[in-house]
Amino acid sequence: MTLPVTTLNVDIEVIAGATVVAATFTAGRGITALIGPSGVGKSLTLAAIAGLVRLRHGSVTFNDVSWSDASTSRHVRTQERRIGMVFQDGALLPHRSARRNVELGLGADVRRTQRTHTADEWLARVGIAHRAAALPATMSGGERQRVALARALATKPALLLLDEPFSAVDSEARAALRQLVHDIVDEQQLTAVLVTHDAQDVAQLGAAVVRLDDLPRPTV
Amino acid sequence: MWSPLWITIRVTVLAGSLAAVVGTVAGYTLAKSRFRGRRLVEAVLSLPIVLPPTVLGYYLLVVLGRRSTVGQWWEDLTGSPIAFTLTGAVVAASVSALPYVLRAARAAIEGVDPRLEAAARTMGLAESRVAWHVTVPVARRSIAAGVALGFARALGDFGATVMLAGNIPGRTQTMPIALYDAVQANDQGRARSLSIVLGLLAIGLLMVVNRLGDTPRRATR
Repeated sequence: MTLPVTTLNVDIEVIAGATVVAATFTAGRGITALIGPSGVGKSLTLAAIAGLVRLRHGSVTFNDVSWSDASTSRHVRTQERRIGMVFQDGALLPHRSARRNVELGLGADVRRTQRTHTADEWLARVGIAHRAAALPATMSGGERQRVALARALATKPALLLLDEPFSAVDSEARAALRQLVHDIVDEQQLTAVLVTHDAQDVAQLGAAVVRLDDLPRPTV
Repeated sequence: MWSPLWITIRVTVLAGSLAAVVGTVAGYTLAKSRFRGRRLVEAVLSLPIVLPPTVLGYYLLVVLGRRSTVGQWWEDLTGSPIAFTLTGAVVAASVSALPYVLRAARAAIEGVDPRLEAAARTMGLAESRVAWHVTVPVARRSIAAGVALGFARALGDFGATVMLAGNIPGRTQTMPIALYDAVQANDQGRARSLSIVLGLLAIGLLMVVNRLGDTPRRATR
């Protein structure tokens, strides 16, 4: 491999309500799973990497570019981080078809026919081309997550964030979806961070593991 | 009969649309920003619900009349005053309608799942496109319900319109005002036909506006 090494460096502290979330880890190319008891702030850690919440302490750096740094109040907007994110139940827009959900991130400056073409390619890649015109409400959990994955990947992200993407999917569809994520991360040479409760996710995806435990919390 | 109908249709469509746009933008702003005094702004913009329409109309006349700063400025700009014109009728009806749209829009926009907006940001959408493609479309059913109420309020306004725009047949006399005139003149036939046409207009208008909030049964593409 002559490709440059990708690294995500996370060393953060975020406050959510009464709890303080602290996480320190490094993720390279491939899938890194964040595991740990519920309420430990795994999803919030992803939100901090995505720039959806501001850091109270610490920093997030991706490929030597500082995305967030509390000490200098640096905060690169989510829109400029070139990330793709898949939420627990897809978070698809209910009023848009699968195709139009994928088109959403393809830029207002791109011609519509081109957007549709790109969206259809990604829907085909995740094996759901036949549902392109369907609304999310008419789809199964597994189908919705495939659309969400296509939508996240269509913007050509360098970093993929997966927030319990398999938990709303029934067990038969889950294994196939995991395999799809595994293959796509491999094929697109992505760095992916996965939040999960499920040990099987880690096993099947061959993910590196970061355990977020009840670290000693600094008192506020 | 036909002149008040035509004036009413024009005033309602213009005032309702104006209230729909301004109310949605104001509702969005109040839902999303946390500036000091936003409660005061919301209270002031909601006054038309609480105030008697004649009082509201009197305020508008003071603020927008020919001798007021805003009224002068408008007259210099357009060559025609606000007070006692069709413009005044539209302003009076839209100010009356505004809080119905604003309150519905603010509540609906606050209720939009923040993850839908977050997902759009991760896809690189600028905040204006998040609002236009995600927040407002997702909230549109509740906003449309507020818009329907706003149109109904604009259609039915009497007090504020009569204060600011007066009762000039053929120019500012809307159907509710024409109805009042007909009853005062003891013209029962005219009063009856005006009230029937106004009722039918209200039903038709609400049916059209309600369709805006319908969920499409299936996507077209």
